[in-house]
Amino acid sequence: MQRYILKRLFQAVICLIGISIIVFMLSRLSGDPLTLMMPPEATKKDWDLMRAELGLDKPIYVQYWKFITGAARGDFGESIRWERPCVEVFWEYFPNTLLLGFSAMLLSLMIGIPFGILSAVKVDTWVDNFGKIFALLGQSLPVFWVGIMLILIFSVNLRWLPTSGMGGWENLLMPAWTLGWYFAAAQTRLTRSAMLDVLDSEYIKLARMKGVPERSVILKHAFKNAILPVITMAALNLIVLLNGTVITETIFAWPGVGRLVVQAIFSRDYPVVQTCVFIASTLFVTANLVVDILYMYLDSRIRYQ
Amino acid sequence: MAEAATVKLDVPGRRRHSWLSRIPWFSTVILSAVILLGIAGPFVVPHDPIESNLMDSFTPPFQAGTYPLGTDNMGRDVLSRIVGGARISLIVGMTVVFVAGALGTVLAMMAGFFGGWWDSVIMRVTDTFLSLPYLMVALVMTAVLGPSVRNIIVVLVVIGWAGYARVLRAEVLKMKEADFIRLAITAGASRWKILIKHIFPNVVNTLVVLATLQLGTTIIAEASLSFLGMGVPPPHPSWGLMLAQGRDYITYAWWLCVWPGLAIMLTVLACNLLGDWLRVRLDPKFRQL
Repeated sequence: MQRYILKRLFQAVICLIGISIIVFMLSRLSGDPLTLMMPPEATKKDWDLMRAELGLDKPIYVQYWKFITGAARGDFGESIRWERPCVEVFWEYFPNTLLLGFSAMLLSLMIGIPFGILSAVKVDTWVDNFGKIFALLGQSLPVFWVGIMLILIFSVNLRWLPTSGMGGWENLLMPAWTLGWYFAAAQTRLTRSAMLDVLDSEYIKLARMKGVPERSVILKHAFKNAILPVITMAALNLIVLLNGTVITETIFAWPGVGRLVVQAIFSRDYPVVQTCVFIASTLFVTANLVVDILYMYLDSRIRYQ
Repeated sequence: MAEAATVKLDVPGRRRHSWLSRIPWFSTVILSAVILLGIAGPFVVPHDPIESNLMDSFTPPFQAGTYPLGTDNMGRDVLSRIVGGARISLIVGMTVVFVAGALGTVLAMMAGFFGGWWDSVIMRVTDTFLSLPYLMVALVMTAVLGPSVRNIIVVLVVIGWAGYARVLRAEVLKMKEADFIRLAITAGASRWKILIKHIFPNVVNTLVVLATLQLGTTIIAEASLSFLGMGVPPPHPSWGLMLAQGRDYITYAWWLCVWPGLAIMLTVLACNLLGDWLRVRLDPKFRQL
């Protein structure tokens, strides 16, 4: 068991090193990162000064070593646009993204779980078909279109909700729905298949034979056993949501990490971009690791493999 | 007994009447239309998708005249631009799916079949790529390389191959233990021959299903990049770019946002439906959530 944990830890570390290399290379793809940062009117002297200040005159492995040792201490350098440490900028925006992410996830679970259960219980009826169509649509609609259509309906035509910015709950509704829509569909599909698996098992048949009321069979016996994969998926998706925030936050001018990245890319603030991509990937790798280890404790089949 | 069960699985429920009812009509019609328009587009559209005509700007759709879906702020015909966008979506989607699929398949077969160091190295690289927030990385890469159709394809391939590698490697691993592979090894077939003649034909079904589903995802990815201004450069017609431009006029020209979005949705829906259908037809065992 310890061997398994060690092996997973080792894999995660390798993965993080890989990510750090990719993140480090990103701004160097074009050759000289300075060409991306310097304004056209900069003189030769400005170039040399900037090069020395960022350490770009040193060999590439020295630069990488500086980057990775800095990253390990949580130091990603200064933002060019904000003239403050990048990590500070990141943590300032991150709570807003978390708020949006949690709301979206909550919304998707509130829709996905009841829909999934209904679909599984009434399999192959119109309810199930409706659930399937919903799941399929959710995975085919691009996030940005959902956002724009919501604005068109609820802000432009009905004038119920504000189009952008952050404030009260009414500002949160449309972004959360835009972001959560895809995951509501995924949760519906997942809950449905998990419930179908459980409903087919012997102990459910036994419970029914004993005369347990159907309502209690479904909610107490079946659902409690089907919920584990659904919750795991939700936890992992919370990190995947970071991808969706790029577009959602841009559409609704939501001051989160996704919009920060887009703004940083357009203002050529590469230290901030590197910070965001690196921290987001690290969160994902860590979440994966934690879920794997938790699963090992819960599931003896993995433990003794 | 076992045979009867298989037959039942193969032809689910109501679909057993004739070969006509077994075709996924929605997907076939939509995808054929997109492909045909993508190829023949420039010859059949009523207007030049790039040429502006300021006298006719913001013509609403369904009016008598030559603009069935209306015009945008520059007076360009929305229908012609959507047809032009179909070509770009197809070029990007098909190329990315083909190249990323080929790359992922080769790496998956090497990792799964050779095992050992090959497997460790390839799978760690795959894990790394799968952990990246792909949209952020794609945005940065196109920003650095410069937005163009070629660069979008490069970026989406660089990010897209890992998904294939992960799924197909698992398939190859399962197959490696199969009797017919052991038999081939015993018979003295070379490793490459086994890979190409025995393993590849058995993962091709999974590959086709994955590629079909990925086509939809890729089309959305291209549209997302273009929407954020890091994709197909204007004035070229791209569905994502059209949406981004239409967004500025949403208060009085709803059609600029509705039509390109519908085009994306229908195409991606067709891909997803076809993928699901193929999954059931080609490989009932392959279930991915």
